[in-house]
Amino acid sequence: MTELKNIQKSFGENAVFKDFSLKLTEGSKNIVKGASGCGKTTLLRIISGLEAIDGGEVIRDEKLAYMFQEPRLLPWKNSLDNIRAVLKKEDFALADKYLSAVGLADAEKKFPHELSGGMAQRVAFARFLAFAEATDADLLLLDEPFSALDKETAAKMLELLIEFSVGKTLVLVTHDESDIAFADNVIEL
Amino acid sequence: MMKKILKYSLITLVWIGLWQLIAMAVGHELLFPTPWAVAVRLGELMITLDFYRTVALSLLRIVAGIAAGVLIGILGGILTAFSKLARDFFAPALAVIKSTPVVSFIFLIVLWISRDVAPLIIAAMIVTPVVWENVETGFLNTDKALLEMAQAYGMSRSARFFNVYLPSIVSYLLASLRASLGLAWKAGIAAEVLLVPVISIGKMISDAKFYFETVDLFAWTVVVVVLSVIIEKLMVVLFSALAKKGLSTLKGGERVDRA
Repeated sequence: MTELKNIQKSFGENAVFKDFSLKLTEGSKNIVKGASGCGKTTLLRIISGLEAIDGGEVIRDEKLAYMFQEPRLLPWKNSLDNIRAVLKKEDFALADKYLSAVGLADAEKKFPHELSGGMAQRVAFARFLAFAEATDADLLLLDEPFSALDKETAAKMLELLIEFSVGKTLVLVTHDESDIAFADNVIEL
Repeated sequence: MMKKILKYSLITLVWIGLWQLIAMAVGHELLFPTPWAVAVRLGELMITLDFYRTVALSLLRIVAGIAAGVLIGILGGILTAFSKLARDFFAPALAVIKSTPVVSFIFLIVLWISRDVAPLIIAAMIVTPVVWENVETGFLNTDKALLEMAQAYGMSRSARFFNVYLPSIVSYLLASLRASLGLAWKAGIAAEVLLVPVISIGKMISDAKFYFETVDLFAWTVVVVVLSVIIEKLMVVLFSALAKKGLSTLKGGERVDRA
């Protein structure tokens, strides 16, 4: 279970969260919506522990996996090694598995500068999935994971995510209204 | 490739031609020898065993100094990148090394240690601060987004070091080598000229100057220039290859499970 209690968070004069509370029930599928700059990314970062809070409490007893809005691939590693970099040796097969699952098996030797924005985002998604499976993560946090993809590919990736997240808690930041259909909770900021 | 070779051969020929013209204008071998006279003298030197012994010993001294400087610079740069206290502590020492005239150090080293090791220490002192500061800058400029990714994906400190920090400093390290190797070589030879270790290129240059053997002086200077270019190219190629090999073997990382 993950719970945020009375969260306070400001960036300088700008208060992003004032006494914000949220409870994520186990296995729930949550969509985070809102205008740009309203704090969607900050919310994920607070849940993950990457962002310090000014007040309140974060209670989390689930293992998490986080996918950033930007691919954040290591420029000196090819696609396959970028995924392997977050895995233990015994889990390296997961890198091949998920690179194939996102349709980029042919791009395993390509370096980030040789990938398009959409391809890089899919490699990052494959890394996220491989890491989540390897660590048995039960809380999946994704920050606009398919924003650089065309509609058709984005739909395929969403399908993969829905399939992968069965039994896991999912928090997905999105601007795409069609993503909302599968959610059982919409968090509007 | 052939075009490139042709281009550089032509440029070299033009410069040698200019050299020949100046030598002809001066008209006195004692003041300005012709390229041919220098080449002949170089040929004479190169068929003696002493030539190779002299070059080898000078190379050994100065390359050992450069290697020591690179090592100290890397370790120091890593230390001061991670510790503000260490950065503040070493800043005055680095500033002193950078701004003190090399010749002062040369005489102090002779006074304190020995003239035989002075070229080695001088070469190290030239390389160390440049490599140190570049490595430190490389570490401090490591992409914060990648570091955060490494944190989010539970990479251990050592995995973060090898997968994120180390590759980030490679370009800075190579730039510092390019900037300092030539200088270190020249300063090392200058130390030899001033201190004349028994077997050294510096002693040969010093003797040539003393006995007004200008052709010898030119011949040994050509040796220094050629060796300088070779050392610089070799070192950069060596470090690039090492970095490439290091990066390509860094597969995966030691991950730490997080709750």
